[in-house]
Amino acid sequence: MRGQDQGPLWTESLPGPARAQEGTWQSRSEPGEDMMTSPSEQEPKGMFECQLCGLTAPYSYVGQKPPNTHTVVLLEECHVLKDPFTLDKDKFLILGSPCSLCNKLVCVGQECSLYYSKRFCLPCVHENLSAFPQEIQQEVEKRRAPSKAASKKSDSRTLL
Amino acid sequence: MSSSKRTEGKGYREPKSSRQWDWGCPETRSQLEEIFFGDQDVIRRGSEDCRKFWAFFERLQTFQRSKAGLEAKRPTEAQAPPRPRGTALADLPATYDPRYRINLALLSGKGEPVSELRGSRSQLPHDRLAEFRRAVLHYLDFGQKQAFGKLAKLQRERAALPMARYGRHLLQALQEHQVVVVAGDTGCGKSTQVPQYLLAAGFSHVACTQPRRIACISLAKRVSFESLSQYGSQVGYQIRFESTRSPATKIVFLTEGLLLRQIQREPGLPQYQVLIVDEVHERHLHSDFLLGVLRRLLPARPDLKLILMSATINISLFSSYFGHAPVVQVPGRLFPITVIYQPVPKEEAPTSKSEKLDPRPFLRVLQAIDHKYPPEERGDLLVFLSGMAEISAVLEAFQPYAAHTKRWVVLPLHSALSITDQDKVFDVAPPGVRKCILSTNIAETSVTIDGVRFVLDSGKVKEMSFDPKAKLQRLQEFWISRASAEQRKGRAGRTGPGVCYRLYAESDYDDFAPYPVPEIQRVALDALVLQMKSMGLGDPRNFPFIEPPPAASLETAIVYLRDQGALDASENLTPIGTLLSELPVDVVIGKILILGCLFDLVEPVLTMAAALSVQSPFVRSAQSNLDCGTARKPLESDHGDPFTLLNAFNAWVQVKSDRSANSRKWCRRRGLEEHRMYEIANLRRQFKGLLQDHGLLAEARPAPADSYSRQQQHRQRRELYQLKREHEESEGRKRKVLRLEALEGGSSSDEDAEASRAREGAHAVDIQVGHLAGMWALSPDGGSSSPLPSPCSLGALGRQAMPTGVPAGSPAGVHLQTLSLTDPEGVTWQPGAASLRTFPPSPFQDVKFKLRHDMGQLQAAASSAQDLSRDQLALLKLVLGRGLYPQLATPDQFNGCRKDSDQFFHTQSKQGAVLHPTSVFASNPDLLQGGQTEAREKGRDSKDGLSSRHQLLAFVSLLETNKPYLVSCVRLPALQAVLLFSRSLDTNGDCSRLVADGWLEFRLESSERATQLLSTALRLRARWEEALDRQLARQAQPRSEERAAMALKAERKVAAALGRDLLDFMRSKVSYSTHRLTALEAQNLYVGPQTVPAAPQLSAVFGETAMSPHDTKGGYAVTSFLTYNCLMSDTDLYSDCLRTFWSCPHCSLYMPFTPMERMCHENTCQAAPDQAAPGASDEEAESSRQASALQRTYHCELCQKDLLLTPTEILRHRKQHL
Repeated sequence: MRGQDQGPLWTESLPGPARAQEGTWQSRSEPGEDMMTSPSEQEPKGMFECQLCGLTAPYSYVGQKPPNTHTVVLLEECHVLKDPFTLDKDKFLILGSPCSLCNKLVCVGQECSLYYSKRFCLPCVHENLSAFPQEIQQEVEKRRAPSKAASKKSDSRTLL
Repeated sequence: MSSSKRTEGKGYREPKSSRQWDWGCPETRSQLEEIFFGDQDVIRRGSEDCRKFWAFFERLQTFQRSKAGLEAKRPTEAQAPPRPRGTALADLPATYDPRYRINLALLSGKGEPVSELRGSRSQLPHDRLAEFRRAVLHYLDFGQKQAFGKLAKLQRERAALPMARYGRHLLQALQEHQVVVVAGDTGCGKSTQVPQYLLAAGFSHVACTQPRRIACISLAKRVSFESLSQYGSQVGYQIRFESTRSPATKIVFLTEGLLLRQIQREPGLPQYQVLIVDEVHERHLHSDFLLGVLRRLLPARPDLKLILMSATINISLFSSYFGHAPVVQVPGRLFPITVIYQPVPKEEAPTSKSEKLDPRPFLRVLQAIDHKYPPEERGDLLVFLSGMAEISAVLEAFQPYAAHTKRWVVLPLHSALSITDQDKVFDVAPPGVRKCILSTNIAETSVTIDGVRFVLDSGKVKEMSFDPKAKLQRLQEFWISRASAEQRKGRAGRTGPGVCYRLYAESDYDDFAPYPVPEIQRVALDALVLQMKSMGLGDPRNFPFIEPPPAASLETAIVYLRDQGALDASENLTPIGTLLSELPVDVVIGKILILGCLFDLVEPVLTMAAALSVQSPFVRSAQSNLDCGTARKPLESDHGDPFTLLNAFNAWVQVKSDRSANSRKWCRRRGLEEHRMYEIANLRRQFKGLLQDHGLLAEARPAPADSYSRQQQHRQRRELYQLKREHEESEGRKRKVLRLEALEGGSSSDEDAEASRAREGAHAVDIQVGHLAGMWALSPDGGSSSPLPSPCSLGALGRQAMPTGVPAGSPAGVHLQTLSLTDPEGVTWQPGAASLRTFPPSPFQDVKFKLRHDMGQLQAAASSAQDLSRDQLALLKLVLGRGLYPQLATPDQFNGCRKDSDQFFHTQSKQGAVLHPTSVFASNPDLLQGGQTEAREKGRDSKDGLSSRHQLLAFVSLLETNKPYLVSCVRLPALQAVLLFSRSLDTNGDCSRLVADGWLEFRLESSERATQLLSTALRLRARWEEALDRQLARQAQPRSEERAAMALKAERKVAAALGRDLLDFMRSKVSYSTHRLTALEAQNLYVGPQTVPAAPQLSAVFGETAMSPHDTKGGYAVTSFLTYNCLMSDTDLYSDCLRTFWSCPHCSLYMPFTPMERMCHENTCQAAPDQAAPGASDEEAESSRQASALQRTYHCELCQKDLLLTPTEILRHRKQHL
C-alpha cells in the first residue's frame, strides 16, 4: 500500500536527492493509513469531448465491456470512465458514444443525445423524428421547449 | 426520461394472477438476490448498493402501478412509424418499450447452467425473473444518469466560475514569466481552479500552500472531487499529522510552515515544478517569510514557476516584490451591497478600556431589520465583534429580544467554542426565523457561512501585539483596516444583494489604515530567527523581507536565542540550537523535550510538551459549571497547570483504552474538548518520532508478538479500516434545522464576571499558543479583553421579563426536530463551511485515533506517568523550570494578606501580573504562600520573611489582555531554582546575600549554608551541562550500534545519579527571605570595578575556573554566571576578609576561613566523596567518561591506580592528595 512509502515522492523523473527525510514532517503514517485507493488506478486513456456541448472528461476505456465488471455489457461502443464518485472499482460511468447516424462523438446528456436501441445525437433525432416511435417524438418535443428557453441543462432529473 | 416511465413487465396487466405473488416476501427477495447479486455482479448482496436497489425497486413499483392504471385507459395504438430510409434507422424497434432506452445488458442469472448452479431458480416464474432483471437494468441506468448528471453539473459549475475565463490567460503569463500574481476575491474560484488548470496544462509537481491546515484538507478534497480523482491519488494534502500524498500525487496542498520545512531540508525544492502560495494578502508570518525565501530561491531554480494568489488587496506590493510580476486580476462574484453608516452615539460609546460594550446600537440594527424586511424574505445576519467578551455582551442583549420576537436564533462563533458549537453556525434557521451569528474576525476569511444577507460591523478587532521589551504578548482592541472592512462587507453579498451596517462614520472609515498590520510586525520572532539561522539565510537583520519586522523584535529574538543557548556569541547556531530548529515547536517547549530525554522522563514530558502546544482542552464555559469543577478536581495537580494537563491526558487515555467506557461522555462531564486530546496524542507522537530521529530517544523495538496476537491485531486494524472507509463513504455532516427553543437557554449568557474573564484570557492564550507551536496555522481569531464587572443589567432584566420556557406557542417550525436538509453528496461547496466541518464526528475520530496510535503503548505510557514517584515529579518540575527559565515570577510579598483573587506576581520586566483564572494556583493560592505563611508563623516580628518554603512560578507565557496574566504555571522552590537556572548570580562577601539576574534578592540566615548550597549548585550545573553536551554530541555523531548502546547505558547511569543529586539539592532545607529588588535597589546593586586587584589564592575555587575581577560589577567572576562579592553591602565591608573558625564536614579540618576560602576548600574536598556517591561506583564513573575525547590514562602515584581522566580531572585528583 501507498502509506508504506511516505517519502518525498513523485520525484523519479526529477534531478537531485529528492528522496529525503521528509517523512519526519508527515504524519508517520502506518501503512495503509489515509489510503482509500487501489494502487492499480485505471490510467486515463485520453480526453473525451462531446462534439455538441463540449463536455470534457478523461476516459479510461472504450468498448462494450468495461474493465472490472463481469455481468454487465454495454450495448454500444462507449467511452467509459471509472465512476469517480464511488470507491467501488467495478463501477463505471458512461460518458458518451458516437451517434449511429452521423458518427459524431456525443455525451449521454439529455441535451445531446438519446438512446433508443442505438445512440442518436439530438440533431439527428430531430432530422429523422418521424422514424422514431411516438413516445420518443413526444419526449424530444418536450425536451426542446425548455432547452430553448434556457440553453443550460436543467438539473431536474426525474426517476426514469 | 419521462417517456420511459411506461409499462414495465406484463405482470401488472394481470393483477389477478399475481395476487399471491409478493415482491416483498423475504424469501423471494433472498432468492432473487442469490441469482442476481452474487460476488461477480454489479450489485452485491448485503452491500449499500443492494439496500439502495431495494429502495429503488419499491419506488419503481409504486410508479409502475400508478402508470399501469393510466395505461389501461389509454388506447394502445402503437402504430408503426413510417419505415426509415437510413440503415441505422432501419431496424429501430417499432413498438416502444422503455428497455430499448437502456444501453446496458445484464448477464447475471442468465442461461440454464447458471440456473442449475444457483439451484433455487426454478421456484421463480420466468416472467418475474425477467421483470426483476429489467428493474435491475433500470436501476443501473438510473445510476448512470445520476453519476453523469453529477459530472455535467460539476463541469458547468466550474465553467461558470469567474476564474474560468482567465485560466488560459494565466497559463500564458506563466509561460512567459517565472512569477505570476493572481488576484481575485472570495468566490472567484482561484484556489480550486488554478491547480486544476496547471494539471490540465501538463504540470505534475504542483504544491499549493495554505495558511490553515483545515483549508489544505478541504481544498484537496474539493479539487480531487472536481478533477474526478476523488478516490484517486493525484490530489493530496500534507499537514502536520496527516498526509494523503503518494508517488502518484500531482498536486499537494500543504501549510506554509511545512513547505518551509521542506526548503530547510532541500533548499532547491527539486520536488516541485510549480509553487502556488495562496492567501498571500493575509500576511501571516510564515507566508511573508516564505515569500522572502522564495524570492531568493527563484534565480537558482529558473525552471520553477511561482504563482501568488491574493484577494484584491495591495496587489502591487506583491507584484513589485517579485520584479513587477504580471497580475491576472479576476473579478469576484459579489452581489451589490448597500452600506449604511450608523456611528455609535457618544453616550453609548465605551469610555474606558474596562467598560463593557453597550449592546444598544447592535440591538437597534436587529430591530431595523425586523422592521424593514418581512420574515418570509430569508437572509441571515452576521455580526463582527472584537472578542469573546463583546460577543457575550451582545448575546446577552440579543437573546431576550430573540425570545420575544421569535424571529431570531442567536449563535456565537469564535475559536474557543467547542467544535459542536462551532458547527451550529452552519445549521439552518426554521422558516420565518433568521440566524444571527455573533462572530470574531474568524468569519472574515477563515469561515464562510452561506445565506448571510446582513452584515453588522463593529469596526473593531482584537489583535495580538508583541512587546519586545517585556517579552509580553498583548491583546488589544483596534479599529480595523479598510481592507478588513471591505472583506466584512463582502460577506453580505455572496448569495444575493445584501446590506452592511457599519457602527462607525464614513469619515472613520476613511481614517482607517488601508491594510491590517502584518503578523511579522506583531509577534515574537524567536522561532523565525531560529529557522532562518538553520536555513543558512545569514543575518536576519539583512533579510529582504517583503515588509521588514521592527528591528527591536529581531534584536530581542536574537538575544533571547543567545540566552537560551541556541545561538553562540557570534550568532551562529549551537548544537542545541540546531536541534531546537528541527523541532517544530517553540524554543521553550523544545528545551523541555530535550531536557526530559536526559532524565528518562520522556513519556510525561512528551505529553506535557504536546499539551502546552495545543489549545487548552479545558472548555472555558465549563469553568463556571460546578459539576464540571467537581469532576475536574481529581485531575488538578498542586504542582502546576502542566501537571494538570498531564493528568487529564493520562486519565483520558485510560478511559479510552477501557473498552466499556465512553471517552466522549467522560470528556463532556469534565468540560474537556476531546478533539484537543486527539491533537495532543498526535503531537506527542510526532515529537517522539522527532526525538528518535535525532537520536535523543532510543527507538522502541516492537515487542516480539506471537503469531496469534499478530493476527488478532491485524484483524482489528482491518476492521478499523473498514469502519474508516464506511465513514468516508458517508462523509459530511448534514445540515440541521436549528431549534429556537433549545437555543434560548443553551448559550451561556449567565456566566459571572470571573468566569468570562477566565475565558477571555484563556482564549487569547489559545491564539498565542497557536503561534507558539510554529507550524500551527490557527486563524487569527481575536480574543477579547475588557473585564466584565457584573452581569449586564439589560440581559438580566430581559431574562426576568421573559418567563422561562416561553416558546410553547411559537410559530410553525419552531418545534421542528432536527432533520437533514442538504443532499448527502453536498455538491455545492463552501471552502469555509467545509473548514469547520472537517473535524469528523467523534466516533470516527476514535477509529482514526486507534488506527494511528498503538493503544497498548499509549496506555502503558499513561499509566506509567500516573504512578510517577514523588522524585520523578520533582525532577519533572525541574525540567519544566529549566526549560521555562527565564520566565519566572515571584509572588508579591503581601499576597498572604490579600484575597485569593487579588494575588499579584512580578516578573523581571513586568510587575503586578495575575494568575490566569484557569490556573490551579488561582483557586489554591496558599500553595504558593508556603514561605510567607511559615514566616508569619515563626514570629510576627520577623519581618524578614524567613522560610525554607518560598516558591517561584515558572510560566509558559505572559499575556496581557485587561491585565497581564501568567499562563500555565509550575511552582518551584525559589532559591534552589534560581541557583540552578540563573544566568547571573551575584553574591556578597559571605554569600548570605544573593541576587539572581539582577532582580531577585535572597538573604540566607546562615552564610555557612549559603556557601554550601552555592558550591553544590555550581557542581550540579557543571554536571548537568556536561550531560547535556554529551547527549547532544551523541545526536550529532553517526552511531555505531554497539558503542552507542554502551555509551547510552553509561550516560543513563550518569544522568540518574545527577537526577538524584539534583533532587537532594531541591529538597535541601535552608531558611531565607526573598525579595524583588526595587528599581532603586537594582541601580545601586554593585560595588563596581575595584582598584584593589586582590585575588588571594582564589584560583583554586570552583575547580579549575580562574577567577578574575569583574569589569563592571566588581568582585570576582567565578563562572560565566557567578560573580562573587560584587554586591554593594549595607552591613560590613570587611566580611570577605573576616575569617571564622570552621570545621570541614568531609575532612574534619578545623581552622579559620574566609567564606571564599571555605568554598575553595569545600569544593576540592567534596570532589572525592561526590564521585563515590551512592549508585555511582568507580566503575560506572569510569565508563561514563569514555565518550570524552580529552581523557587519557593517568597513573596516580599516591593511590597507585590507573585512572582515565581529563586534564582538569587530573588536576582535581592531585588536589585531593594535597
